[in-house]
Amino acid sequence: MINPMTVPERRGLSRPAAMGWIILVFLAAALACPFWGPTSVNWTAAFSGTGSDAQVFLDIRVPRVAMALLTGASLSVAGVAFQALLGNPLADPFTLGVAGGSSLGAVAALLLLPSLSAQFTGTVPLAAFLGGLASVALVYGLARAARGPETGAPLSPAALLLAGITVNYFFNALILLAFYAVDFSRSTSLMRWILGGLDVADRSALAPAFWPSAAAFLALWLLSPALNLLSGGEEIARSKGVNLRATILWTFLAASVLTSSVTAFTGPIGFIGLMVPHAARKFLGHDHRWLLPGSALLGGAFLALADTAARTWFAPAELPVAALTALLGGPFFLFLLFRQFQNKVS
Amino acid sequence: MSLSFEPGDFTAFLGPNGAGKSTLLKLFAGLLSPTAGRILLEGKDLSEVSPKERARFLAYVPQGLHYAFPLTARDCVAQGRYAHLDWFGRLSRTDRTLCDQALELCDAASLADRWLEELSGGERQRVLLASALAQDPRVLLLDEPTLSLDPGHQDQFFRVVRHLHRKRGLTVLMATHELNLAATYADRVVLLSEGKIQADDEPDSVLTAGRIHRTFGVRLRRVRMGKGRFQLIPAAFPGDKP
Repeated sequence: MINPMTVPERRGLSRPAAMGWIILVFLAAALACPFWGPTSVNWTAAFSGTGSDAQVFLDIRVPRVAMALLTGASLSVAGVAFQALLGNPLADPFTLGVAGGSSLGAVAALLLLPSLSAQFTGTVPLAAFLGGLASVALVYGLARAARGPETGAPLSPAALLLAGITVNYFFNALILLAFYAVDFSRSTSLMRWILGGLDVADRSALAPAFWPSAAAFLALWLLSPALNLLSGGEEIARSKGVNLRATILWTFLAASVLTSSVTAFTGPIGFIGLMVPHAARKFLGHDHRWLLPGSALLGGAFLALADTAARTWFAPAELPVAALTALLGGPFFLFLLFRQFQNKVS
Repeated sequence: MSLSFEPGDFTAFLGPNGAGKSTLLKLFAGLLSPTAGRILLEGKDLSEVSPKERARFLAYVPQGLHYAFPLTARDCVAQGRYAHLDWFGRLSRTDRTLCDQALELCDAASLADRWLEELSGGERQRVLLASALAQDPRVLLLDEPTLSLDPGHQDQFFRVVRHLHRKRGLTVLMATHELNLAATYADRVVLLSEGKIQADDEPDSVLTAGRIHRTFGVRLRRVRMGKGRFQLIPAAFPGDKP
């Protein structure tokens, strides 16, 4: 009857103490990661502020680590939001097809509106946002249709995930098609829109990725009490006084902004939004007032460390960080999926 | 159909499966919107009442629930306070006391720190009832609340409900297909079938052998229990000649 797997104990730490540790891990990752890299840097020269050592450190490493922190945080928070919304810990920007939709949107803007994209920094993120929103609407709509007219039941995870993964695959195919159709010589740079990485992130990407993410995070954080209730299903949330329509709409918008504002620069990086919230729940419990900031910090630290590993292990070559997160996240996804099936049976 | 309820009523909606009992209750709880007609709450159209205002007036106890993530009984009850809290959902000392009292009333105080999913069906229904009470409602809507409970737990559940109804003057609307539950606890029975009201009066005059046979297709007879209450038992053993 009682399946011990379904009852993860919160660790002995109190929530503030757990949050303190998470903040420490974040700070440690943020401070340490810029000091690793494929080229050796003369630190005395770097901190004097001039010369090539300073350039490598300040113009390449620091912005890249900052982008990794931001991307990890945004994707993790988006994962938490999608999981609350769909009542399923398997939901994340990648498995729901949002990352694929955002990438397609970004590619469409780059290829179809090259001059506008170069002129206004907001063009590519906006197109990514529209692509992400379109795919999430499609996947959500399909899953709701699969559920039928019943109101109390949760959305079918099978319908959600099949739709999400199919949409992702389909969008990948469109991205490939677009590149081959427009300009074959540029197809080397298309890898980023299939398997994301942080190698192209520079200082100019930071602000347009940061502000929308920050606003979306704040919106979600303020929705925390409603998200807590939504995890119990739509029926219970509504009966306790949650304005369901508004909550669902804002959560979808915010999670799509979070996903697309970073994916517009990095391409799809999968499974962060799956692994990080799972870990954060173990330490902080289920309350979104703690879970959202905790996941943001933990996700940022995780991606910064993963990216540091990805760019140093095979130096001078670089592994796209999305390959690394997929290597870790794929088996993890299967583990969660297996557990869900197991719970169904018992 | 047209129905109205007075404060302090204990009404049971009875009817065969698919008669529309649960649908009616979900309409009252605001979980479904009427496609035609209106529901008035103290003269105000329910669709114009804000979700939080509605939750402070009407509390709904579902048949069961599925939580995607682990939740303790205490947190589940605290969720009942949602409609009373500030924008960031902070629980005051008063809120916590109210939750503890609700758990106490529902005989669930000892379950507070356990996970919902490790509770038995009866324990979980008591926690859900406590969560509904934490809403501090005036109307309690019970949707087949004891469907999966054994007789002991069922009895315990309704003892709590009756206590709340009598001592706190809560209005109770309950959907069920168990005739004896209605006969035991309700002051008024609305008999539904095929989406229509077949009868609406006190249990004694609604639950006649003839009407039960017409509605449910089963022959039952009454056994008087005292205090004007009665129970229904089969008129004959299955297989006996009528």
